[in-house]
Amino acid sequence: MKSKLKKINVAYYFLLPYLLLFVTFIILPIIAAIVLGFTNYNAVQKPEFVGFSNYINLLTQDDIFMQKVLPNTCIFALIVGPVGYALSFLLAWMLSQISRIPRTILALLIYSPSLTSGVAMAVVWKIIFAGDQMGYINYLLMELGIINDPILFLTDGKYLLVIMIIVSLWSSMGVGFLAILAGILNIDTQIYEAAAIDGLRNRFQEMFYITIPMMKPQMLFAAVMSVVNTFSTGAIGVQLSGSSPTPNYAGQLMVNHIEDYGFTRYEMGYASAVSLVLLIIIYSISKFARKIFRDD
Amino acid sequence: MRYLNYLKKGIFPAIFFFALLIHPMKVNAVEAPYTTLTQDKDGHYVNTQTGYIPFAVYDKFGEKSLKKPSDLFLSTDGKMYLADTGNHRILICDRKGNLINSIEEGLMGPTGIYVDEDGTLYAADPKAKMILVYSKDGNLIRQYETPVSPLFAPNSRYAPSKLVANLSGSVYALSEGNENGILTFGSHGDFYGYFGANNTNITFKEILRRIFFTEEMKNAFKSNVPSAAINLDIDRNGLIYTVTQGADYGGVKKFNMAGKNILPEGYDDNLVTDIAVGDIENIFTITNNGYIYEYSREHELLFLFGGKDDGKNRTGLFIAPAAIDVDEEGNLYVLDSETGSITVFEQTEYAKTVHTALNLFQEGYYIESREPWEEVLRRNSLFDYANRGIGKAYYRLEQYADSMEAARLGGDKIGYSDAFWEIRNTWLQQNVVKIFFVLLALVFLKKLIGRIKDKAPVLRSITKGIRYISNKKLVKELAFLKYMPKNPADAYYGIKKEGKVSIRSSTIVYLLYFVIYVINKYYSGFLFKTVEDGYYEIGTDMLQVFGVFALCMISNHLICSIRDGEGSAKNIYCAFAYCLMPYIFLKPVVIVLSHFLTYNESFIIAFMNFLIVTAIAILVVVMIKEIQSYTYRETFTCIFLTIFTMLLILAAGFIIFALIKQVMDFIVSIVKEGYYRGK
Repeated sequence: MKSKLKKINVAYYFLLPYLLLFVTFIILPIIAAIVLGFTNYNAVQKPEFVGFSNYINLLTQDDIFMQKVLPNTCIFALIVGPVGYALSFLLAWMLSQISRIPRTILALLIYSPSLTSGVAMAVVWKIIFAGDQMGYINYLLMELGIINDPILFLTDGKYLLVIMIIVSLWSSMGVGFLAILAGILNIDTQIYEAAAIDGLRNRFQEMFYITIPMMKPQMLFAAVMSVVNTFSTGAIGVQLSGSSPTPNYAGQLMVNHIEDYGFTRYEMGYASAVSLVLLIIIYSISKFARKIFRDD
Repeated sequence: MRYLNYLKKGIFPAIFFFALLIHPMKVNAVEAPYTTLTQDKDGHYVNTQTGYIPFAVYDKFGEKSLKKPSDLFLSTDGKMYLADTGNHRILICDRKGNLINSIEEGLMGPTGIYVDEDGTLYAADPKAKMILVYSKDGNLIRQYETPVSPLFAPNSRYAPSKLVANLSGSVYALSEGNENGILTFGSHGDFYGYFGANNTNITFKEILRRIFFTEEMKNAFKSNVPSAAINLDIDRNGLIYTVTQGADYGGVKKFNMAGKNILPEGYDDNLVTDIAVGDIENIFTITNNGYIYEYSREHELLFLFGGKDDGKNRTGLFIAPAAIDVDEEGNLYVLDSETGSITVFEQTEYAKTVHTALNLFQEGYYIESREPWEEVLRRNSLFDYANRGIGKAYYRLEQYADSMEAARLGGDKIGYSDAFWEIRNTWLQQNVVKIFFVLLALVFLKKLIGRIKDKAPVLRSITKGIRYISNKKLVKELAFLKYMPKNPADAYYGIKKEGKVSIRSSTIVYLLYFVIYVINKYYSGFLFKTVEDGYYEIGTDMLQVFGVFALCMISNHLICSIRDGEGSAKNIYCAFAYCLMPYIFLKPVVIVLSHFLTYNESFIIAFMNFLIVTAIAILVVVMIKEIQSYTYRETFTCIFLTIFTMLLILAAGFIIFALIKQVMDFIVSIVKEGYYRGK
């Protein structure tokens, strides 16, 4: 009995480096955030315990949160999440149909926007959507005579969110996409052959009856990644419009709101409360995703 | 309520008439020969109290009469200037029509005049191709001839027809046939450039043409040139207004300093000839056929009156109205170029109250504006604009419940949404803790019941009862709806081969759909409702819903039976019902939500509706495929053919209907004929 316990303890020593880092950089900050969420803290003075009032204020007093930030985040996540996910599945599936070398090159090309997003955004999208007649889209529209004056795409509240969604979709082929691609390639080709003999008629049937059921773990991973990504993006609106908060709060997402309170107004307690709400939202949606892709 | 209002409307004139009988007064006001209209919340024109009545007509000015006059201007010092185009002169009289002076120097046919605060007179003369400026005592000081400037293209037309000037002496002029915009001149006559041009309307066809045609082909078409503005005016803030004929939308424009239109582009009469701006920035326009429109500052119609004179010379109607202006008291002066006469309209008490309320409201005196608005409503409770005004006043006063009610009466959905948001917010503030605890208690209760379900005898008998009910055949068939999203293909197999559902349960599903449809249409939240309050047409709804269903199913069955489909009519009837599953489960949620959401969260409802439609579409495709054992290709062919058949059946139906109506008419006329001859 005693020796068994000792053995386990020895195993823990091997885990220690990782555990130590994980606790210091993940667990402790989360606990700190939970605790700070119940206080008034301005990063200088001692935190002052205020109970649930941060959360009550968030739901009832914070007009910007309820009128702009929450709707923006929901619209953004509802579109970018599912559509981005469907797109990465479709692209991965299409890539899996071609031969190896072009597949690798194309996969790299499609994956790269999610790596370089910050730089590429400034270079590519700011020129495309520039608000003067030098912007590509404005130039095209004016050339065709659809508009007479250039539209301020990036600073006009009406367009910012739409552009943010387009840009995010473009850069949404991230790790999830690679996981799905790997999952599809991993499926044993014998299964397809067997199914063809059993009477499978076309590639769509292959996709529905074999590919998707065979790669549920990868699908789940990609879904969780896409949920986490869409909810934790925030920089994109600020980068595109070049101002923080975004013009008229049109592109303000929850992460921006947290940054606004945490690092502009130094209301750390309130910012912690908002980030905890964000954490709960992400967690519950991931849980929902797990329910859908669960092995039955 | 409406009937009561009609009654009230009838009573007011009656009382007025009685009062006349009892006290025979000397009324020099003429009875208005027209009805006055206004716009209600749905954009329909409705009758309202008379806003303006004609009270004087001038056609002789001293010894002089007018020949084809084309402009009229009321200056701030109480004078009236007339551009007597046909006699090449400008007449200056007082407001009663007594001649003071006349100017003829240098004029060949002035059509536009403007007088600034100092009494300097500006005249536009398209015949002389000149703008002439006269001093206060009538001496010609300056002339603006064809501009010589790189900004003025040598081949553009310069025939100034209308003009205004601002406080610094800059002149804004319209030139006949020059669609580049308003010409602007500095105070010394130097040309500054164009301002506020109209845009061309570009159609989809035009866009396609520009994309696909070659240069040569494009040149073969007539170039698309915007119509030029026909008249203009300036308000006391120096903002310029223009009117354009032939434009259904955006015929009236108000320009900011940058030359951008700041009025919403509502519908405008496309025969408009002149515009005048009153003291409270209300806009008056007059059209070729004699209608006078009064709009508020935000371009909402207040009054519409007047009309074409059919040769009976009735005061208040016009043959060819050319110009309109408004004086300090709000009296309207309208110049008729055909008869050479000026008709003066004065405001009724009712219009005065409306204007007082509007002025107070626009200036931000919301508390003070409430009383005149209510006075307006007492006289005419169908005047929706007043309700909107009251709603906004209450909103600014933070009386949100009253604001909501008034906004609903006035049909102001955005105002209603804003007020509702505030009310809901207050409610949430008070109850958020309670809600949290109730939710917590519910979760706890659910866990508890799950734990002791098999122990407590009461719970056990309830569970038993539920199990007993859910084992009934009909309930089982209805519960099959829940299976649809899990695996639609399998579900349709169950419907077709395993008899999981019956005609009885499908009929119940159809009825359920209809009930939800009706509830959605008439009992959704005000903000998300598409029909007016108090408007019902259940019969038509029933015909529509079941008619469309029957048409779909019959056409589909016809097509499938000739295209080797396996499904029977019963299969199609049942499977089609179960396609409506998303609507039956999600629409009630939408209906409930629509009572609690404002426009701020409307995207949730839009998203759910989108989900319902897509889900039904997918289910229908899968349904046809599985029930008829088609491939996808065959399924889509079948769907297109079904739609085509539906159109054919509809067309045939219309033809038969028309023919039957003809036959009926024929029989009726024969019977009538026989009847009269027999007598």
